[in-house]
Amino acid sequence: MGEGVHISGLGFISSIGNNAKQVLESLREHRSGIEYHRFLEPDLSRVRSGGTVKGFSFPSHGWATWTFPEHLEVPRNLLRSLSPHGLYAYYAVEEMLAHSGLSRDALSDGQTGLFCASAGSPFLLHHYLKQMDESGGKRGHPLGVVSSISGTLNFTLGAHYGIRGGNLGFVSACASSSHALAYASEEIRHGRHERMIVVGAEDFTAESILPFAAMRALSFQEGTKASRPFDAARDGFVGTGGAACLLLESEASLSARGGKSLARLAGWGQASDGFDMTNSDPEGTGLTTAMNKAIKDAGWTTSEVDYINAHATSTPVGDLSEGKAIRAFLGPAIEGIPVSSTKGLTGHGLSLAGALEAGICTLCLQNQLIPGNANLESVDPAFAELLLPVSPEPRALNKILSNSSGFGGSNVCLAFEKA
Amino acid sequence: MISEITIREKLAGYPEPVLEACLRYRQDRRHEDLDSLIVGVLFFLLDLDPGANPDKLGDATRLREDLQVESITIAELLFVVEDLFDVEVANQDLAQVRTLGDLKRFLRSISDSINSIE
Repeated sequence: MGEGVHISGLGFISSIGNNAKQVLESLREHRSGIEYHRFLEPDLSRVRSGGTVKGFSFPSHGWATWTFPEHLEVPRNLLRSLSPHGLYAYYAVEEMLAHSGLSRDALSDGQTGLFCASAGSPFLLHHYLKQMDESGGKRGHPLGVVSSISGTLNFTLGAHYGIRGGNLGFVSACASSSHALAYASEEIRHGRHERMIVVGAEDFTAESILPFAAMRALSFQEGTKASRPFDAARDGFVGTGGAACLLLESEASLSARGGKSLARLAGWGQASDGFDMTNSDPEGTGLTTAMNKAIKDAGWTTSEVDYINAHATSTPVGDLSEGKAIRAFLGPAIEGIPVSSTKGLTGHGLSLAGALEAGICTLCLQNQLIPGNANLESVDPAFAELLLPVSPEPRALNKILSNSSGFGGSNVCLAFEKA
Repeated sequence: MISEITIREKLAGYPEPVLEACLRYRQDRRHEDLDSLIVGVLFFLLDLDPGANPDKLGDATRLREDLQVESITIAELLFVVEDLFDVEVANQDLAQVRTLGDLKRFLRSISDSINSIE
């Protein structure tokens, strides 16, 4: 298994809070970040809800028109290169740095790496490509590419923070930032880095979210109750954006600087369905395998798991296959191990989801709290055997699992342990 | 000629003096207004207040050494100019631009060629 990998810093910009304290309060109070939302003007789609990110606005593609919380100064030369989710990510990284106490010198010592996950910024990409089309290729913003393509977080944050360790991105759709965390942990386990900064982030714009309506994956329900994982009335996911940043750190680095371990990333597993581009294997076989690999990597038994943070996005098909996967994984232990999806409160952050939920799991372990399944008013009979709390509850937590599943049937399970 | 509405769209979020300099230049084509526009845009990109940094406004101010201007900043400034005036600036033309004075003279020469065409 190797040396312990500690989570020693957190940062959030999310629909349920713009810092760890707010996110925890929202979890405790079961407070949703989802509201009535229209993405376009006029919006002729049937989508009526979103996990809105508060305190930020992007009225145009020009950074000079953007507004953001004033408690942090955003360096102008960085701002000019950022996408909306890059700006969210900057706030999350800065909170992580303040939270962890990691010195800025450590960022450039060659022992700190940066792994990121986002789909890029379709909002900016669309604008710049339109500009190219309209000008016959004559006109193009010099930062058009680096601010908009997948990888933008690595380019911009890596340069800004002077990262001299590894710097790369992950593109497994909704499993991306879980993959980023998993491979970041490997970097520390194998002694290649002492510290890994992991960022998952997405824009919250029409360009990032609405195309999923064409796949019939989005909920058409309105407002707070639209995201309802495991509920019989679920009809699709609610999109959200934001950023989550976690600092993973070796035992040696943490001790040397007197840092605090918030939780440990004890192990992980991955397996794919090999079934379909967009839909998960109906039997959830890939996810079951990923979960079994995760606990094996962590050196746990099934019955030692105290809680499972499900991927469940509130889609009819996806939740069903995860339900089967969890049932197959837990076996006889199924009655005693609670399962919840926090996407009922946050919405589905796509590439952001894995990191956001890892951050939530860290808060859960620190505070001995299980989030409830929001909007679970009528449990789909397919999940009758699962223990699905509808409200947050205090619980003794030592070992928890977090699932993420992406397009192409890519499944990742992360195993977190109390510090 | 680019419309006032389009100028306001393209310079949305920029400081008012920058917009005013551009509108004045559009109207009267005076070099002083073009200089104000260029310096205004450059300083906004650098997050420098021209009013608070009068010592950096002279023609001898070196772009790289005194203002820490990088090539990408010049590229962005030129993009704003290209976009406002529908011109193209070739990379090799920039090779000799080292000071604020060089930059102003360079952009004046481009605007003079626009004026002569119109």
